[in-house]
Amino acid sequence: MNQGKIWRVVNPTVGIPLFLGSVALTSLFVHYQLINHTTWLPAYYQGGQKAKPVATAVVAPDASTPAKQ
Amino acid sequence: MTDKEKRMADDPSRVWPSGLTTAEAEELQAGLVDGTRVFFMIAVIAHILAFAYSPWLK
Repeated sequence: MNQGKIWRVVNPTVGIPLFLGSVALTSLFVHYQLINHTTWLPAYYQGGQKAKPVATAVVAPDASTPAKQ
Repeated sequence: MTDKEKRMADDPSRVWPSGLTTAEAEELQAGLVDGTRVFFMIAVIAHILAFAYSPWLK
């Protein structure tokens, strides 16, 4: 945006791999911390856990109301 | 700056120490910024999905 002139003094052959490499390292670090400090990411990788179907608590209205005599 | 230095700095075809001209440097930066923005938008979408599945700090 406004720092384009940096490439006049920093060789992009060096600067761009440095920039992209730092992004990649940051991403690896964040994912590593998530693996170690959450339960759901290891569980996701473990797999085999099917979500239980939600128990139907809704009873049909006709069955609950006694028939009027 | 001397007149010659000013003219050198303004010269659009001047090749700077990195080997690029000013226009090339700006063009490179524009592409880098666009790519960074695309990466950021994908990351935002991923965070929204992650929060919906497993909210944090709640």
